[in-house]
Amino acid sequence: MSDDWLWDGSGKPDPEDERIAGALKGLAYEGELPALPEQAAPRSWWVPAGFAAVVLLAAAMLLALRPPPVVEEADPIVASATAWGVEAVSGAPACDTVPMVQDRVLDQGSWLSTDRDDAARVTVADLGFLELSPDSALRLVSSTPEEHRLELAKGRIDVQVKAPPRVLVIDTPGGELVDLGCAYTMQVAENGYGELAVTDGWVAIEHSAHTVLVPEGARARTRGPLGPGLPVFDDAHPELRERAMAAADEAASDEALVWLTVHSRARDTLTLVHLLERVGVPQRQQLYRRIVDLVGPVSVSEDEIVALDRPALGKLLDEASRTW
Amino acid sequence: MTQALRLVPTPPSDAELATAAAAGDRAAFAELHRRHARVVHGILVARLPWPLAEEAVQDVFLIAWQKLHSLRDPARVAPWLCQLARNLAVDQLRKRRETAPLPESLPEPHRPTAEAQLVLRHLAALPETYAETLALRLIEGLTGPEIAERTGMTHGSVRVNLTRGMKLLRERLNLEDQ
Repeated sequence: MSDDWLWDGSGKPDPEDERIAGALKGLAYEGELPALPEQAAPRSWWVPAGFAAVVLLAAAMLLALRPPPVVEEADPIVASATAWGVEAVSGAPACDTVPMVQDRVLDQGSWLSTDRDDAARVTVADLGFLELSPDSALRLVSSTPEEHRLELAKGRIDVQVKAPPRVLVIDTPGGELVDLGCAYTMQVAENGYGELAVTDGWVAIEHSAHTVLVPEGARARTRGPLGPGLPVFDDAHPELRERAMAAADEAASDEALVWLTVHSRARDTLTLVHLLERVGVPQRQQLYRRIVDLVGPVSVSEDEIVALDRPALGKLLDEASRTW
Repeated sequence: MTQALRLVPTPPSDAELATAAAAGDRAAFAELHRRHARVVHGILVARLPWPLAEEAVQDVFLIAWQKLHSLRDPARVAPWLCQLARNLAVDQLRKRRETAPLPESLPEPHRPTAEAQLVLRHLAALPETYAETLALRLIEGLTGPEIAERTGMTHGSVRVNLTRGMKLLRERLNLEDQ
C-alpha cells in the first residue's frame, strides 16, 4: 500500500510514486554551516520586537476587556494654531457646505466635504495628518487629550499618525476604527460598505458584531450593519482572500473551511484566528490545530480557544503574529 | 545498570543547544545546523527555485545565529527555524528573484536532472502545505513521524499533506506527460 510507504517507507511503493521519488534522489541538503560572524548585541533589536509584541497583546486585551463607552460631553477644543487645521490640496473643499477660500480650523461638530475635484489635508491634533480624497465627507465629532473622534460618512481618508493606542477613533458605517499608532487608508462607499488597508502599525475595527485587528500589510472589509469581515494579508493567495470574505458571513461551509485551513500559510493565521469566533465548536478545534501546525506550539490550550476565552484569543493572535 | 546508564551520554536537547548557541556557543549552533538544515532546505525547496533554496539555507542559519536570543522558548527552536525559512522564502519571492537563472557555477553533482527539475517545478506549484511536506519526504528523506516532530505539525496533518499532495503531484505530472 503506497500510503504506508509514503508515511514511513514501509510497505510496497506505488510504482509512480517510486519513479517521482527516484527523480529527486540525491537532492537532499548536504551543505556545511557557513562561517559565523560575531553575534550582534541582543538588546539593539530585542527592545522594539518585544515592545511590539507587548503593545499588540495589550491592544488585544484592551479590546477584549473594554468597558462600555461612557457618554459625556467633550471639552471644547483647546488647540494649538495647527490642530485640526484644514488646507485645500485641490479644488475648494467645503466646511459645513461653505467652500473654503483659505486655510481654516475644523470646528467640533463641523463637516468637511469634498466634491469630485476637491481634496483636503487635515492636521490631526498634534498626532499627524490625514488626507481627504474627492467625493468624501468627514466630521470632527470631538477632540480631547484622551480621545480624538472623527466620522467618515463616505469617501476615502489616508491617515498617518503617531499616537498611543485608542487616542484616535474614526466612526464609519461599518464600525469604529481604533488607531493603535499607524498609517492606513479607509474607503467608505455610498451604501456604507468599505475597506480598511493598513500600511503601518495596527488598526482595530470595533463593531457590536465583531472586533478585528488589522496589521500592516493587511486589509479588512466593513459591511455596514454586518460588522467587519475577516482581515487578510495583501500577499495572501487571491482565492484565499475570496474564500475568507465568504467565510466572514458566518455561514462558512465545511468545504470552504477545509480549503482555508489546507491552503493557509503561517501569515494567514491572522485570518484563521479571527475566523474562530465565527464558527462552531468542531470547526474551532480544527482551526486551532491548524494554527498550531502553522506557527508551532502556543501557550494557550485548545479548550480555552474553543470556549472563545477573550484573553486567550488575544494571546493566540500575539503568538501567531511573531511568525508573520 | 546504573553505572552503564551513566556511561551513555544523553545528547543535548534542542532547547539546551539553542540556549547555549544564543550565548555564543558555535559548536552548539553547528549541532542545531546538523539536526535541522535538511528541514530548512525542504521548506525552501518547496517555495524557491533550486539554486536559491541552496543559498537560502545558509541565510536562514546566519539570521538564526544573530537572532537566537529573541527566541523566548528555546524548546521551540525547530518550529522557529522552519518559520524563519518560510519568511525568508516570502521575502525572496517578493524581490522577484525567482526568475534568476540557474547559476553556471553550480557544481555538476548539485545540478538537478531535467526530470528532477520538472518534478521540482510542479512540486513548488502545489499548495504550500503539500509542497513543504512532500519536499521533506521525497527530497530530504524524512519519514512522516520525523516531519511531524521537526515541524510541529500533527501526524494527521502530515499524513493528509503527503497523501493529497502526492495525488495532486501525480495528476500534474501526468498532465505534463500528455
